[in-house]
Amino acid sequence: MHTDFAPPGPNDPAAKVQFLARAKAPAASLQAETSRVRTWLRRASNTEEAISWLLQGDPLNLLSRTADNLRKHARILDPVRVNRYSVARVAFRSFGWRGKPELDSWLARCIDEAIRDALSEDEERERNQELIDDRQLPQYAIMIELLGCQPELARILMLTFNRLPIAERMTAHAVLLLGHKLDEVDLPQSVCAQERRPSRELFAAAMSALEAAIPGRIPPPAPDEYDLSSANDA
Amino acid sequence: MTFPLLTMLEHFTLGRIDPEAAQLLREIASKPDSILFCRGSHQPVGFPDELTPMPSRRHAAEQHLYRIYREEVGSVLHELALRIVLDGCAQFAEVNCIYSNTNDGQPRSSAELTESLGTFESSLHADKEQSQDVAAALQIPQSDPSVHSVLTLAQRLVPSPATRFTAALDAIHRAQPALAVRHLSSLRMDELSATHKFVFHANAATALMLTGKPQEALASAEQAYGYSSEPAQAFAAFLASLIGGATAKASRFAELIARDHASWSPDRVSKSFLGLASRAGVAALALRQLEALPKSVQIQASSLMCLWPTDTPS
Repeated sequence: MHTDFAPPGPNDPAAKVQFLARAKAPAASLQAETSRVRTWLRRASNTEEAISWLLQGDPLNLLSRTADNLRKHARILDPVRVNRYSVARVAFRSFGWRGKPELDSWLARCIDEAIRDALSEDEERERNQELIDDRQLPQYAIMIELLGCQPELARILMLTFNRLPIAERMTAHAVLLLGHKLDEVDLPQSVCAQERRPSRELFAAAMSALEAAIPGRIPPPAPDEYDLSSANDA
Repeated sequence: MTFPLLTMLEHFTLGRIDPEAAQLLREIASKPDSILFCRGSHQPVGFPDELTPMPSRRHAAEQHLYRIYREEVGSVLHELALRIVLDGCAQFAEVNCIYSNTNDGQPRSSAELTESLGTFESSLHADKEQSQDVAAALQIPQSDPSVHSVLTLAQRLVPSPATRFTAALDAIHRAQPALAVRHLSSLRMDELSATHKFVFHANAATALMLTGKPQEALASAEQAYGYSSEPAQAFAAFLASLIGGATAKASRFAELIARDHASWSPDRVSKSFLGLASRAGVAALALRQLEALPKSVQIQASSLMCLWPTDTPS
């Protein structure tokens, strides 16, 4: 137990700043970091307090972890929105977390849940045919910019994109968002193993699916969706 | 601080898109009815320059936290109700066994579920005042654990087809199949996933069988089998066929059960069959219909149901 690294109380701003600075420093080991963060989170007397701490200075780097997760899984979602949901997920799960799984895996799981939350929220909005209001527009702005669509179609297009079969989604993500050439699209080995089509076919299929999107008609989850963490790590 | 979307988009310039891909995009854009690339390139949407201010971010995260509470507590309440239903009708549960495994494949006991609610309660504290529905819901299972009250709360927290399925299951268990049919009729098929469609038809088959509508039951059982070739569904279709007098179909489903019976113990089939048939008040009829089948199918099917020993010579 790192008693020299006790989390600050809510009324001790100086100590909090010091704590946050140290929390951002490279950890001696994941285990030590896990222990420190857990101790810190347990100090929060309720989930609202945990949220306040998580947002102040982003001590767990949730925003960049969220952006990494989206990029790794070729998801197109507003990272700021997903980050808010990640913060809520971490605060919610923190009371039941006993240090297992270790910090990185635990946070990755919380972010995965936050991504699912955002997708299911969009699905609900789409099913109820809610209009996209000005407040929500920035959440879908990337789709409007990327695909040159009318704002009212941005949500269904985002859902459609995120539900494309993984190989098509990764190809379209690489070409449209990252500016890769079709010949240079490098899919993870585990995806290639299940996909024979060349990248230009995958890209064309993705664009056809997007073009066929109809408001209110939610595409089913991709049949070949699976956990990519091991694929990318390989 | 730079808005992350801008960072993501900085690579996105038309000049950098692969020429072959760009050609495809141009073809799409040239179609008169295309929904893509039909917006002028000089109509900026307006990205914010900075991250959302802190108070607003906190508010959004807190709002989401309440949503999580509602969903989690609603889902645990629903699971608890389902557990109470299944605990109370072990034989009947076999036909619906897949339903209890739709979350993480590991059904939890009632005690574990109540413990989960306790964990939620201990982390709620100050949030309670702002989330009264959740706080009230946490109290109910201890004071009034009837399936109806638990389901009503679960439905209020998270309206979902799953809670209506469980209400239908409860109605079947409480010998109110007509109510079960009403619960099932209120579901919209287009809001159901493939798994839920399967569960819908499996439960509808049972409820219709119990309301004396074997033909409709058979149609539902066949639909369920279309979504999942679990032996349980073949069995439900088999029983519905038997009761409805559709002997050719009964034979077909008996063969399917026989083919797959390695994954389903005869004891389990027997319990389900007898539980379901006697609950429907059609055990005698089902057995009579069974006798009308070809001898080979009779033996195949009945041996599976342990009506007599599996090694009976033909």
